Amino acid sequence: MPPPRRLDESMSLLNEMMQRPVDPSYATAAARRVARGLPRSTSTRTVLVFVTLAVIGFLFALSALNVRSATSVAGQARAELLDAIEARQAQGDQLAAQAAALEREVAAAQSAALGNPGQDLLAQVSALSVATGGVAVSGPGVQLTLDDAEEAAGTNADPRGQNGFGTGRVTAQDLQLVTNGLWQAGAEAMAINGQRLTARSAIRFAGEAILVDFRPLARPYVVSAIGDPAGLRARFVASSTGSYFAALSANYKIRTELVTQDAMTLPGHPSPALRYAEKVPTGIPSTPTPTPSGAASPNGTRRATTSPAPRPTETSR
Amino acid sequence: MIPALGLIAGIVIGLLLNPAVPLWLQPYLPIAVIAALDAVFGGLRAVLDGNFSDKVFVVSFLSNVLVAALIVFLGDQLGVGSQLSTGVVVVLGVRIFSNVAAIRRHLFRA
Repeated sequence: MPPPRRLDESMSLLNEMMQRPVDPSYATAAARRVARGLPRSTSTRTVLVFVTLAVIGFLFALSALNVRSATSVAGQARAELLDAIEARQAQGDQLAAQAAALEREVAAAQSAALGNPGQDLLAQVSALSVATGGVAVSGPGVQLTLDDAEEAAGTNADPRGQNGFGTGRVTAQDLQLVTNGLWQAGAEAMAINGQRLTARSAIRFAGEAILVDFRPLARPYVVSAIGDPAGLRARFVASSTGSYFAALSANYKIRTELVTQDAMTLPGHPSPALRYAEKVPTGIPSTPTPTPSGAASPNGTRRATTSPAPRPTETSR
Repeated sequence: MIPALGLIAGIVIGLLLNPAVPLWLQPYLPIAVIAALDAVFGGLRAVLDGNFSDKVFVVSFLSNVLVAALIVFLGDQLGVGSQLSTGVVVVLGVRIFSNVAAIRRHLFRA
């Protein structure tokens, strides 16, 4: 007759694990030594034990250092990307400085070449470059600050996206509307966070950052506009953009501020060159030329400063 | 005393040398540490039980580390690496806990 089946036989794995945690080989080795007339236990002061424990300690130190330096694959990749970004930014800054230096050289060469009789032309050029944003300008004006709402700051949620999160973030469209409103109110020169706006500036979204002329901006967004401070402010506040600006803080808790400044200095934009547009030769009768759709601006002199249309190669929201 | 000195010597050597762990070895490091801890506590318990054997200690450490590494390697090849790692950690963790409990009973009679 077979022995009766143990009640907990099906749990033998668990029993084995819980009840005999120590290596059974210790007990068998001890029994063998006792059978040979040796003491049950060997000394712990042997070279074998020392070396093994040294290896174990080495292992501990190794893993502790590895955990602490967080040199996981992701961390390394992140650090490399950061390095690459910083290197490229430094390169970009260097090239911008180079461009500015060359710009100055061009101006000097221009005045040297034109000489004395060309002073009228030079005056005209400098007057025009104030309008095109080619040179730094200073004067009184208003300063307008936009910042993400308190609870939305620092989050990476979609700004006013379909999912309803992050409605308190400033979008590129806000900046486009505000700058257009300021042009309309009579601003003569404008810069966002030290980026001068010219006729060819673009304010766009790329991922989660706002780009002005392909340079990412960090919040808060400060729009500086030079113009008659009191009149500029009054006209802006009274305009439809002014009410949009007020609604931003009222509805979305976006932190806004509008102050007048007695003196501001806006930097010039280094590349005012037109690459494709050419002057129409004089003598051709001024027939109505076909204007591309959307390019006509209301008052002729004021340009569409902000182009919401993205370049085809870039993703934009 | 001598074993503790060995452990400290190993830690100091590791901290001083600070060798770079190759990428392919990194997933095995935590498992090897758990296996080593299991061997250390098993040995300590055996010392207190009075049936310590240096040969068994060394063999149990080496086999623990090797088997744990093998299981993780197999798991990685089969695509269940993290689950098998968890299994190894659970089994060795239970062993460590019961060994520590036995050591506690020896030391504090509680």
